[in-house]
Amino acid sequence: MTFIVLPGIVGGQSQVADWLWNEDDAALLITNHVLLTSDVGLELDSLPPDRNVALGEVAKNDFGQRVPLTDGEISLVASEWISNTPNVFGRHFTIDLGRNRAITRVRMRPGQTALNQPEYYVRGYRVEAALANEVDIWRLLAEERNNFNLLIDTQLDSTWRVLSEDEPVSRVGQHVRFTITRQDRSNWVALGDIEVYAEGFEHEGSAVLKWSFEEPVNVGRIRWQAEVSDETALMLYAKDRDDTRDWSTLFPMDQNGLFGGAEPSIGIEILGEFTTANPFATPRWQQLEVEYDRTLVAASAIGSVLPNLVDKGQKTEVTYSIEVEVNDGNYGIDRIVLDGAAMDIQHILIDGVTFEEGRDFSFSSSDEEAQTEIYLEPFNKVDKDAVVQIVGQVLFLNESYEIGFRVGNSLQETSDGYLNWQNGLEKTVGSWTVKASGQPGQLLSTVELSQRPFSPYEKDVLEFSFVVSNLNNPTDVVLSLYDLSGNRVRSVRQNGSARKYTIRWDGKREGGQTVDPGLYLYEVEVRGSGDKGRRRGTCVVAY
Amino acid sequence: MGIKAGDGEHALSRIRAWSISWILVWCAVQPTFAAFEVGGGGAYSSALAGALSTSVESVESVWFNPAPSARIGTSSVSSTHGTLWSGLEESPSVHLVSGAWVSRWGAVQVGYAMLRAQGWDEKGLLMGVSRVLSARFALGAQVQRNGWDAGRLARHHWVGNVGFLYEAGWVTRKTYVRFSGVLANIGSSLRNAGRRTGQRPRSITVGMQVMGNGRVGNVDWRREADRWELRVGYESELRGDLMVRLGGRLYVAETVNRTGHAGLGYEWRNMRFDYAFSQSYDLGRFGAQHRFGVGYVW
Repeated sequence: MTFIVLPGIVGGQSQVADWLWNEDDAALLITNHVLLTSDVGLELDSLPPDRNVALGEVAKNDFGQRVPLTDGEISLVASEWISNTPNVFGRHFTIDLGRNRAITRVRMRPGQTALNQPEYYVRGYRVEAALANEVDIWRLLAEERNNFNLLIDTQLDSTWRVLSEDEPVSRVGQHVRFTITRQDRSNWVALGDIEVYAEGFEHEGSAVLKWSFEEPVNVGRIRWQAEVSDETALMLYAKDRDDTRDWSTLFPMDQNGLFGGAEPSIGIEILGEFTTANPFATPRWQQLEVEYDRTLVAASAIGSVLPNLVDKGQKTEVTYSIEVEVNDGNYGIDRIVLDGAAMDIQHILIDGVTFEEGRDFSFSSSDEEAQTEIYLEPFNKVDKDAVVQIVGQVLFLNESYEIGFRVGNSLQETSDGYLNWQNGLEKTVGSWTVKASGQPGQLLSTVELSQRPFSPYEKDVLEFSFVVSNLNNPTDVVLSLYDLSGNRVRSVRQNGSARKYTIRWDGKREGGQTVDPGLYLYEVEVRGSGDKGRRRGTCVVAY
Repeated sequence: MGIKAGDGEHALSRIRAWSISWILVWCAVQPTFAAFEVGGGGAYSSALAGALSTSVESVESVWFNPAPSARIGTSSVSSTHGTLWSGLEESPSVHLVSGAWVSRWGAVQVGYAMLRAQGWDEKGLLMGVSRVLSARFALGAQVQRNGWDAGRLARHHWVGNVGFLYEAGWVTRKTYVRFSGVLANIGSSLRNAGRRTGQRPRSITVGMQVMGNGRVGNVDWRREADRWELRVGYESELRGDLMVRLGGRLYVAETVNRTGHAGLGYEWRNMRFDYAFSQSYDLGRFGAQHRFGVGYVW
């Protein structure tokens, strides 16, 4: 199977190279429950026939109590279940496999007590399975009404009832129930372990691709091709090879998204996480393309922020410093993005020279995305080594902020059709972290309206601005509007965190019609476990 | 204010004597829609109306069935004031002055209402007449000039209301029944040059009132465009001069708003004092409505 890497844009010309995953010295593929096949690419491996999928899962008796029948052990007392009575008719044990499995075989190993005293065997039994979403509908797997075997094995004793015309077939289910259906007067029962075997694919797996570049590059877009059917998922993550962060702390990549790791990079790692809820379906990762640029925006860009400790709920002046090293062969910097904070920039200092907004640069900031983007005028492009200091006000509402940055060049964007941001590096560990302490006061600030009255025919939207503080858990922030009859005309919802919000209403009902002129009630509500706050007022629509 | 059983004519005269305002409210049925009304027996501040339902949505909400004032036969003047959503910092308020003068020919009604909030000023002027056409049937009509002013933008318009009151009479020895209907907002224009005007669409209301032994029960149903509401109310006499009122309202549009109401009415000589409290079950967090009224009857 051939996978392709686009080695990037060199002088505006793209190059394409064929790349074999497992044949190129520059690439290293590490897989876990994932198989590489030449015709389909990477997919989940098949379950081995000797894998006991019940091992370590939860088993409970008919009273809902956990029993040690899935621990792989049958030793005396600690790892077996003993009836202590001959009244065992109807006693049953249920194993939750955690997900639907295509079950092919069930084994019930006797407990050590039964091995020592063979009369402790099961006289009759029934084995059933139920799907994850139909837990009350049990379908028969195997049954024996007159058993004399200590070891019950549906494969060996021919009790498997899920049959096609010529061979046994599997039955899909998440829950397996073993029921004792017969008892004798002096016959106690000692069970050791219940084993379940299945076919189909592993339910999860991963593959890590490690790739080295010949020289430091600015990694660009990453695209991949995959076949992801219902009940399956493939998530891809990327980072610099020297990045020591755990994969679980990273966000999954968007298809055709930009690389988010540290740059310039001399090597990247890409993790593919495969999951399936259908035993017979697997996601397939067929192809990967990575664009990268040998021409860097800057040879290096290192950032830090001061102060690192601020009061929560207060607008604080911060200085974000970027030490840049720019060589002749680099694009140079005329675009900067601060990720993690919406800053109201007052001025910028480049090597101590003050740059004013409007004349030397412009900027936009988004509270929703916690981002600030700066556009330097072309004649102010940073094309040599310099220290760039961005000074502005930031409202800190969370406990901790990580303020990273990216640098870019407009010429590169024009040349390649997209802006390949070069991610900056942190000066030292924690140097772009800001901790906010103290209590900012109320959860929800007063709500400010952009207009009163609001005319949907003159302005596109009415803006409701407010600040949510002290929010411990992500939650929903909802704006609801009612007419004076108490009829809700519109509800606008945003995903919530502690930040400044601007929710916009276009003056329309849920159905899209413009509302009548009149007085309306509004309510801003923060919903969440442990965090609740409401603000209410009136707004006027007139036209 | 109260209703006693008796023969038809005698009982009706006692109704006039005892309960001017709430008769208007419930006989007319539409009164249960209003926060305060120009009463059928004369201008009378009937905060009591709120006891049965009442939500104020515009100044047009404050008027009711014009027909009963001719039936009541008593002149009055009144004033009512209220807050609509007490939970808001800038709670909208309503204010009304009204009067009704009764002659042998019929009754004449005049009223002026205001709904005020920050940046919003809504006003309504009403003039109406009503006349008893037969022992059982009374008819009334009103014209209103309504308008709003939001600073740089304002609109005004005229609409009319027509209502009737039909006295079904004593259906049992102790139970008196009457029916009513109102066609409101006649001539309203919902759109102008492609834009919505904010005028209320034409509505129709039908209702029934049952009275006896000092108690009154009301039910009415109103349809306005694709919305409707059902209102029920009950009034009982605690003493000869003190009434207690309870009510409920179900309003169904895109969403549902259910409201409960309670109120008191007190008579002292020719004066009438009323208080009404309304609380929404669905929007109770916006606060309650409180209304106070005072009237003079002669």
